[in-house]
Amino acid sequence: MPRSHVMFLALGLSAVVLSSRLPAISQSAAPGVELTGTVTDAAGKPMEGVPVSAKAEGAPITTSVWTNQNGAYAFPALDAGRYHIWAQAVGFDRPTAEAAITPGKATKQDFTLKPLEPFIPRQLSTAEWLESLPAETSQDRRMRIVMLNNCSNCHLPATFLEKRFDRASWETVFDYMEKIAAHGSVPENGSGDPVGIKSGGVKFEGNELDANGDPIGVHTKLMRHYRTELIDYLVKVAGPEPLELNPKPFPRPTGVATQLVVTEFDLPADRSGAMRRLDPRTGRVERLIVRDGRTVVEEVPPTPVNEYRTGSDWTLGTRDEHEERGTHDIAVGTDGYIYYGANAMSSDARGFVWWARGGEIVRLDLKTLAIRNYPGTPVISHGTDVDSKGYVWGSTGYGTVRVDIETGAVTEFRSVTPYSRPYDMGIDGLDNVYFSQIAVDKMGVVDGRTGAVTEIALPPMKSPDLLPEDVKVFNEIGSWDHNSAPGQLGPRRMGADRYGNFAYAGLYWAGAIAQVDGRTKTLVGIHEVPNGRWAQPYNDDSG
Amino acid sequence: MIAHRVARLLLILSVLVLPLPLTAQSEESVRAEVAGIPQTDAQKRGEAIFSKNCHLCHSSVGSFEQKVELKILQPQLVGLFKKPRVTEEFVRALVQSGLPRRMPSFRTTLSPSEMDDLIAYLEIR
Repeated sequence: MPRSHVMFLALGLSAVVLSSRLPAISQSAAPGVELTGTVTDAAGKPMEGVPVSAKAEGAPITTSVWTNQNGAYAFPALDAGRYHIWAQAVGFDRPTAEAAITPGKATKQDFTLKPLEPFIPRQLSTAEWLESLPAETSQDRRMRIVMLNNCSNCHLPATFLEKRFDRASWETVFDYMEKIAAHGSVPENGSGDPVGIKSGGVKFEGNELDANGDPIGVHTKLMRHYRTELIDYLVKVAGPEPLELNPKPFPRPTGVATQLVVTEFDLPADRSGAMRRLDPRTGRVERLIVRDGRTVVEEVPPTPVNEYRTGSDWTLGTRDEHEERGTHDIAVGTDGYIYYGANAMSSDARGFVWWARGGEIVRLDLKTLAIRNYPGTPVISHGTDVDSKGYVWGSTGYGTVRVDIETGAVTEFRSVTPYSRPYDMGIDGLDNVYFSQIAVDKMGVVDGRTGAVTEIALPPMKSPDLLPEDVKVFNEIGSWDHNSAPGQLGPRRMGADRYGNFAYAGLYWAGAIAQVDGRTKTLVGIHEVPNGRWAQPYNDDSG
Repeated sequence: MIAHRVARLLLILSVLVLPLPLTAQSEESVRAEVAGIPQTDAQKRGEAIFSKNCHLCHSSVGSFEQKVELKILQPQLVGLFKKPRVTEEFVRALVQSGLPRRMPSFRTTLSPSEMDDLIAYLEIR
């Protein structure tokens, strides 16, 4: 065996061996004895469905469990440490406690939750906040749709609903948003909207320019059309005068849904741009650096965390993702590591992880940690996947692209409708390749046998609150991704069933999931997400 | 009294604001600055408030190149209180009033204790 292969293998083995010797969090969700208790209300009544969270001092891992119908909770087996523990629920306060935990030794920690007076809107998630906004008039209900469709692609609406700005301030914010929403151009770099062209490829008439001096695109057209109404609405729901919010938090989980264990990992700050991997047993992170043609594994030291920025206290509201950047994509490797650090990531059951950087697809071999680049594709959008013959595919600004990794040959399969903003892709059990065309509400399909490209149209969302002018906007301006016309569905991230002939796409603007059949090239149905009208379903990775 | 304070504010602004267009336009000279790390609870709460309210224009952490290219990035406020004539009173007044066409007014967004925390953070940023 060549020496370089031995080194890669040794590196791989040593990484596995090292991890198994470190303190580990329990891999079983079964209740342990180390930390249990009950949560009751101020009258002593048990509260079901309340999350209780625990984090050891100095550790990057937060574990959360939920109380059952008796108000009782139990953590899985916990490692030794000094733990910070807290319970919270929307509409209630957030009591905390400290406890020294020893494996095998029982520690009991009860909590009493008191109602919060007055109610703190920041505790609400975006989906709950939008559900709680005024909805008595048709205009209120219409503007909720217009706001979601124009102001939620880049940040959750709660991040701006928490503000209380006067009219002049909202005007200033919009000036900045007009610059940002129009930034970038497609299909070359995969973001921004086409310059001067609407979805489908027709040029906008006239010589109007956007805030950056370029021929106007879809994002700016939509923002300028709805600007005055949106500012009027924002002054009402997030203005200087406090809004009489009718809070509608979602019901807390009950029954078997409370048998959930959620583990959150703080990730270290790292500007290397390298592929990273998280060991979910220990929370340790390593980066994979290619040096002189070889992959070197380096530990990424933990970064001290400001707990006020972690989101662990719901009363502090929704974090801004541009400052608290986590990971855009992850891929769960067959080796048990969680790989992250690039876009369009996917995991291959044969022991590879794929991702994209600009105009190339990249493969990591989990056995050897060798990293191999396959250049020559258009800029990859958000998806990569591998078919049964071993070809790797990616979504692009034009549709999809297939790479023969043996020969390097690149073959494009472009969408039927041009300028449709192909976003993500997936491959089903029949090798049908699907891609989501978010700007035009279509699912593209490359037939697994013939290679023919067809489209499955999704019907626009109907609402009695939308006006004829909104239908005109839908038809004459259309949508892209930062902004969309009212009525747009927005198939965004998606997945395909590896064992069947279906694909599923999260409908970002509509709060539902579309299911399509790659064999018949038809829409099977649109599935509403319970409590999800405003939840912006993003990803559906059934692979 | 109010007119006096506004006049003082405008005088100080004329010192600080004038360099802004130069900074924003000179892409080559804009560098990401390294901010101070909060130690106390008030400073940490203030950093959280800064990250939710001020980052679009005053932070180099998210989308730095885009902000420079679009001329959105403003002074990163690192070492703010070391600058001449910058006082706590001035910073409070500016955050609460905003700057027409440039910066929103945070008067009704930030509570008095949130303002206190923000100031505590800006003092060490």
